[in-house]
Amino acid sequence: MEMGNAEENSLVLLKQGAEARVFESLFAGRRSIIKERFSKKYRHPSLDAKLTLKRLNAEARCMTKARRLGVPTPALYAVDTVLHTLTFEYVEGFSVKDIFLQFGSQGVVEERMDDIAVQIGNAIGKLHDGGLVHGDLTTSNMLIRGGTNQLVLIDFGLSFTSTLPEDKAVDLYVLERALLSMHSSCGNVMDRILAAYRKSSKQWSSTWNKLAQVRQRGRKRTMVG
Amino acid sequence: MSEPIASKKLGNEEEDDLLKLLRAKKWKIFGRKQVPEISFFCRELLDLMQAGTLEPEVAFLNASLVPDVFPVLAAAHKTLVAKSRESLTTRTLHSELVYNYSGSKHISESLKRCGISDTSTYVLVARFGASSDETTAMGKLIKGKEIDLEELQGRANQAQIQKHYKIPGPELVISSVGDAITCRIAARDTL
Repeated sequence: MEMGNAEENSLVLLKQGAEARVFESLFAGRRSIIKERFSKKYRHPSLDAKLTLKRLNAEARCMTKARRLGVPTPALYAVDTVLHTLTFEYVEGFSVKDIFLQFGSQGVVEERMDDIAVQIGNAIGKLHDGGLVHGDLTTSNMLIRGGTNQLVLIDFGLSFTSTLPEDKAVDLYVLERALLSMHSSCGNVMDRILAAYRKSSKQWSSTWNKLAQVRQRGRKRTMVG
Repeated sequence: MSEPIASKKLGNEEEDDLLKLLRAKKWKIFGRKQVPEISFFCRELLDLMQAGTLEPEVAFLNASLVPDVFPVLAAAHKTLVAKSRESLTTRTLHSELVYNYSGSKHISESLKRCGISDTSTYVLVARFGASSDETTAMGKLIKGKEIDLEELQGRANQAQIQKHYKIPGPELVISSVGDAITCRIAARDTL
């Protein structure tokens, strides 16, 4: 693995997760991110190849679908089905997680919080109305583009298309839990997000009713009967 | 992990060459008399291309659909990766570039819309790894006025692009036209 950063074409490993490795590189002169889904050695090779490819394609589709719905995501530059990589735009800026964690200590003003919460609510509303469920809404999967302060959603690895209120409610519930555990010092951001979501989503009432149910039972449905 | 590095390297070097050689050509129409001649000329180029005897081999793109060089480079990258795996979909490297730029899976339709036709007057010429001799040769072969790549953005046909690539209004609020095209080129095979 080449780790030098002076080389123009070098890959620099940024993060390694359970499903993929993320590198920084250059694509046709632009700073880019390469996400490589690696094979799982514990799976049967033919099953592994199928799953990896299916998820790679699904992620590329969901990312571009979100853009068509007017939700900012990094621009996709290339998909390589042989190396199992996605290459997309490098978004300069901080994650919402970092910004929220600085809240209070570094003097993140109330208006900034509000602006971010409204953008989050709008983005999720547009996604859900378009029949797309993100699947992993956490503050570390949201970036704020430096300069324009535009919210950019990333990591569509768990995304899928669905019009069921159940799936949308669980999507919101996951975010609610993430906010509670990470950012309880930020006051009630979720209420502000939901207020914006309510305004932008036409299917608000069915999702809202379902969310109340999901809150009672948790993310997983009880498998009785 | 050595494989992606190698393929990246190959890609970028060749792309640099391509970038140097990308030239926008504006066919100058002086008067009515010139029109049949131009039509005849485009026909001639098309025939040469179809026969595979165009020397040097180049790609002619409908420049009205090109708002920026970046999507062309993305298509070129895709083309080179396919070439390195001997998995071209079309017959030649340069027709593959036109096909890839279209973002569609329909080959003949792609070549028709994103390539040139009898009536083309605004053409982008591209060649992989061209030498300066080849560039001048191409300049002579094409009877038109060469214009700067900077002019692509201003001359692009927004309506035609939106129609061809099916770009809805909300997407253009959050994205440039060039990025919208690039996403479609990249995501074509995942659909």
